[in-house]
Amino acid sequence: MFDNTWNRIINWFRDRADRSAVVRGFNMAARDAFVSGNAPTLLEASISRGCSDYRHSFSNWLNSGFRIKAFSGRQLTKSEIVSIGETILSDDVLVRRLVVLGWDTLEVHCDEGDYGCRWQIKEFLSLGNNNF
Amino acid sequence: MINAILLAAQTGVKVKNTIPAAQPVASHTWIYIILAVVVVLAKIYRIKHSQNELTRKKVLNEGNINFNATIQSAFHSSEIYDQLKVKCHPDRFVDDPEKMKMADALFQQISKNKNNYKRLLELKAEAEQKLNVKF
Repeated sequence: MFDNTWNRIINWFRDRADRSAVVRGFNMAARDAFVSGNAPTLLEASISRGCSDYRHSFSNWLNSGFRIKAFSGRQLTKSEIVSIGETILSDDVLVRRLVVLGWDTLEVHCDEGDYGCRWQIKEFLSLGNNNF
Repeated sequence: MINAILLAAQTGVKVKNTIPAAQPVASHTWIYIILAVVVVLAKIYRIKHSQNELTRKKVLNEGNINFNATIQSAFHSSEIYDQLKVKCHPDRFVDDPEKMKMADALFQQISKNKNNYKRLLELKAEAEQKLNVKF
């Protein structure tokens, strides 16, 4: 009983650490790409509330959104936003990692303007043997 | 009641106990049912949680994510994809059936990896080599 509870506490903290590692890894890669000139726009990932309609069995109770903000200094077109989102969702390993770490919504928006796009991450899983 | 007892003590009359006897304890059926339901729900939660935990461990051990490639793909893949889809379209090789077959296979790969910059670069090199296409 005690061991089980203790394991759950440890797992919860490990989960938080893994989530932070994903966000930090993305931000560092985006910063490096921007500084070296490989990316014309600086991207920044953060954790948001997410959309409750997109929940799955791994979803976090709170904060289940993976939000990417593009610092472009202008309103990005819909196709540019969709391109960023689709690139992230086409990476199978990243999508599976996002799902397992409790994210269910991917949001992409820019610093100017007031619209963005969001996707249900679960829809982009190449399921295989996993049943989420 | 106390007054009645005092009065009885003064007058010497026996007083009947007016306090109602305790009722027999009600059956605990509902408590047992609720406990059983709680136990079953806990078991279901535990089974589901253990399955989720296994999947979680499996996915987390898959390896590192290459964020650099993802970010590069986000900005550059569309450009190279547009080039490749035009230059490697099978309809450009109608005269040569062998090349058309190769172009068909290549085009399928290009469409499948349209958001993977690294793979598109490999396919570009392959197209240059096999189809003699110049970019």
